[in-house]
Amino acid sequence: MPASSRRPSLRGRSGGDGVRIRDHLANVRTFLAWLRAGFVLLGMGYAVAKFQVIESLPSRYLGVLAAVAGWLVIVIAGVSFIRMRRAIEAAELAPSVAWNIGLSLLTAGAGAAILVYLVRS
Amino acid sequence: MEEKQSDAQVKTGSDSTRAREHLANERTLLAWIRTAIALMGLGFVVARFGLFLREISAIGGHPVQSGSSYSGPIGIVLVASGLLAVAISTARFFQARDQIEKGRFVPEAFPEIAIVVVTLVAGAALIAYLALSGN
Repeated sequence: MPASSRRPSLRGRSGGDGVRIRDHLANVRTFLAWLRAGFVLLGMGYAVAKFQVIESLPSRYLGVLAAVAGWLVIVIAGVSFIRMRRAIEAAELAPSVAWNIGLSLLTAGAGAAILVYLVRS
Repeated sequence: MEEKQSDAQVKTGSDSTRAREHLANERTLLAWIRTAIALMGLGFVVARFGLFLREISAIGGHPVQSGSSYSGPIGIVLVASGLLAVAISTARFFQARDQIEKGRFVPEAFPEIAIVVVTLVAGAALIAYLALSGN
């Protein structure tokens, strides 16, 4: 049996291969959700920089900044996908929240900037 | 029917696990589709927004920027990779479905790495275009 060679019993979570499969599929979905967040940031940055909603230099810089942030989010998505994939196979999971906090702070900062702009204009 | 039941028994023990594996597989396909739609939407915005802006500035009597618009090709690449993602992920869905039934699931990384690489390249081109273009 090829399935038995994958040592499901060594995994850190009980439940065998079924849990392993669902872990991997959940990992893919998490990766895709991060990817979508990156796409939205990239697209928003593009729109802000290109549309020049605010007729000044900051608009362009802010847009480029958001696009760069989106690009970095895509990098993070890929790196943490591969890491998590290995962790699932090796059954040694060490969940980290640093990137999640980072993304939340980034989004909150962008929201605050938009709010300030809307209130002041 | 009985044959499938015994397959599941050999693999993990319970049939309810098998159902959850298939449902997880389906959710993963749907997440791929959502991502592809987002990617195609992004590509559409990138491709059309540049055109829209050029037309607006032409109507407004502003000098039309010379044909150095890279947003069209970048947008087309993004839409095409979204389309490719739909195809690859649908194929992967059926492959994973098969693997779940046979009890030998092999996690993949190629589609994920591919979409990251493609969007990073297109994103870098987009950022370079935004940062370097005159207006």
